Amino acid sequence: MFKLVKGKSEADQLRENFEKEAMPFSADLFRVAMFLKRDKDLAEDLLQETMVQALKSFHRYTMGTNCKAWLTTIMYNTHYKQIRKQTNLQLVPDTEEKIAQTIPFEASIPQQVTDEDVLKALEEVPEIFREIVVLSDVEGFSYKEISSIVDVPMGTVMSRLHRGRKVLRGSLAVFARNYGIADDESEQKVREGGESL
Amino acid sequence: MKCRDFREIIDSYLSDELLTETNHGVLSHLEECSSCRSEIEARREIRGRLKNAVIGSPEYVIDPGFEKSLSGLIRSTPLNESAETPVAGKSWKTWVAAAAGLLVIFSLGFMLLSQVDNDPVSASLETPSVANLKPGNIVNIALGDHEHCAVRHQVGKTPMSVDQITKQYRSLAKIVVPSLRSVLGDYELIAAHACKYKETPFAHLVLRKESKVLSVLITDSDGLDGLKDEEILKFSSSDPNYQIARFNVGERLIFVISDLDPVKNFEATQALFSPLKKHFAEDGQANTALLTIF
Repeated sequence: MFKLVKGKSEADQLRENFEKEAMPFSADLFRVAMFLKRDKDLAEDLLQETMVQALKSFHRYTMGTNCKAWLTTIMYNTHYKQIRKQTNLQLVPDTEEKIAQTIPFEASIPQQVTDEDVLKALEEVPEIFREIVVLSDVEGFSYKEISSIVDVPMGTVMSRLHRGRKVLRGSLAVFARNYGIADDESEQKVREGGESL
Repeated sequence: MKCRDFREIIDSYLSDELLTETNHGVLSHLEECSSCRSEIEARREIRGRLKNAVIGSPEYVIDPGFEKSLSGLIRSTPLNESAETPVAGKSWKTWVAAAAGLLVIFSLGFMLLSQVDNDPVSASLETPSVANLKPGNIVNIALGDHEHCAVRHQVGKTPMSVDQITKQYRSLAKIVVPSLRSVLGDYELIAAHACKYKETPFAHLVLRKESKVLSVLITDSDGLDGLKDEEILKFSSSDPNYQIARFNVGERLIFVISDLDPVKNFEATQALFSPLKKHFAEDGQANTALLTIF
């Protein structure tokens, strides 16, 4: 029996590299897509479009650099392009500063809240801060990578991260209080002093 | 290091973003401060809990069937020539020749455009590219503000009437909206607000027609050199989705940024030129109102 053996074309090699370097991040990227779209079908569409775009641009990717960050940047760009095409625009009435002013005090830390509570608390973080918290604390990107993905200066990344974490902590404290966990006395100190002790 | 200093950098410490020297300072402080040790443990715990909660939630887990079909799609997606050929593999001479060709085509295009243009407000033959400007250039900042407010965060959902917007912008909107409609058709006003991008304040009007979004951004020229009255300057963006035109009325810079084609974006800018010039030059009250934004 004869078997045809031929050398790999550049396209085959590129595809093989993509499958090896990029495809393992599908699960991570799906999470990011879910945070962007808040809908499973839309998130799958976004992930699919992202991966196809990434495959077609993979010749520009530098092997050995952070592939997950590169793919996430493509996902954000694809997401923004999709938003541009939408006829029904989304309402984002609050400016960043206005949101920041409504951030609650930093409360004592709950110890016994469930994972479900943590996810609910995350939902209460304004989107503009939440996306940075997720990219940092869940996906593990550096400030510099987040700055590039979201296309905002590093200082903005840092302040949004700080504010987002603060809101998250405040929301978790509410859950804790509902369980009767929170320490009212330390909370009172926070209210008066403006900083947790 | 004092506790207050530590609290300011605690997030950066947890994200491993501090310089080695600062890290040493943090570690020394932590050795002697139990309160900050508790604080950092608490924050670390929240981060860990958050990561585990998200990763462990079925909602955020990719469907295995979808993952399999995605792999199949990637294997069957055709790769065209441009994707197959690495950029670095092309000869630099090819790129220079292509760039020169494009330059000739664009130059001819703009020369033709200026010849058929009989309006009193002329367009500059120069079309600087945004990509060639420094990142902090006001044109880049205006483009960034348009992207930030109008495209990404889509500041308005439903159209606003001129009466619905704040008094501060009413007189401006009364000029901008009909002027633009005269050349672009039924664009609707969806937002009028003051915003700041990269420390630069803007008065920002956002208009929309179906999926098309247009921004009119007004700011102070802040001593910018080379401003010429009676001239609309166009800028080419590296992103073909955006067209940018700018003119000034005295010390005020007015930007029109949209996803229209270059001719339409220019026509829209032209339509605003005379009315806004009159508005800023003659309406002292409007001037004062706008100044309060800054």
